[in-house]
Amino acid sequence: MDHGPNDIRNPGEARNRARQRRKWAFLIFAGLVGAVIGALLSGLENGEGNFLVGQIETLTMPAWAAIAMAAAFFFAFAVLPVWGFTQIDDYQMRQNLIGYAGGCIAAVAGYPIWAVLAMGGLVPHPTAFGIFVIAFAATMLTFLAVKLRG
Amino acid sequence: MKNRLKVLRAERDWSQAELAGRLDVSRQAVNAIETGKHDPSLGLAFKISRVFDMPIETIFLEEED
Repeated sequence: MDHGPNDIRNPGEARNRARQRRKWAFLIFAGLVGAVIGALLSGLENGEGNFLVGQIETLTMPAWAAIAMAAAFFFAFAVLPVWGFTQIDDYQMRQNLIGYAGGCIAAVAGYPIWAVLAMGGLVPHPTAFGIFVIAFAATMLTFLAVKLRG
Repeated sequence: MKNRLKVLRAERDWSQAELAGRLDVSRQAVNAIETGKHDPSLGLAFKISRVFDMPIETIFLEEED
């Protein structure tokens, strides 16, 4: 008597495996989008500096490329996550929203804290890239903490 | 909120993955509900009620103060 995951009497397990496959497909697609954006960026940027560490003052790119890259970033950081929200259950949605809340709180609290510390001569002045890094890192860390807590 | 999800699942010899598939949620969501770390939405509670063919109030129990 087979009651294993392939048993026809266990339709839920089959649906759960299909759900897992969709999740991995989404993660692989998101990774590919990131790889394509990185490759395009490195191919289209001119001048000196490093986009990944926020040295953009001396970097340039053609206007058409800038618009295309802006659209790509909008897709990667706004469209893809919002669409991802429609594919998950309310438990996963809660974990994701807590992660985003962590990032938002870090940015809102981080800027004034960083600014006054800079006024006191303790740290360099705040930068837009620095705030982005704080928000992004806090989002990831908060999400991981919520995931690990279960 | 307490619930009898684990007992009802065991009575039917269903794994967490089996119940998750029947409810169209992740296995992690089922585990979180069973361990009391997550209260399901009203919609999911109704779906759980349908899957077990039992009234919601016999599955989810209000905790005494």
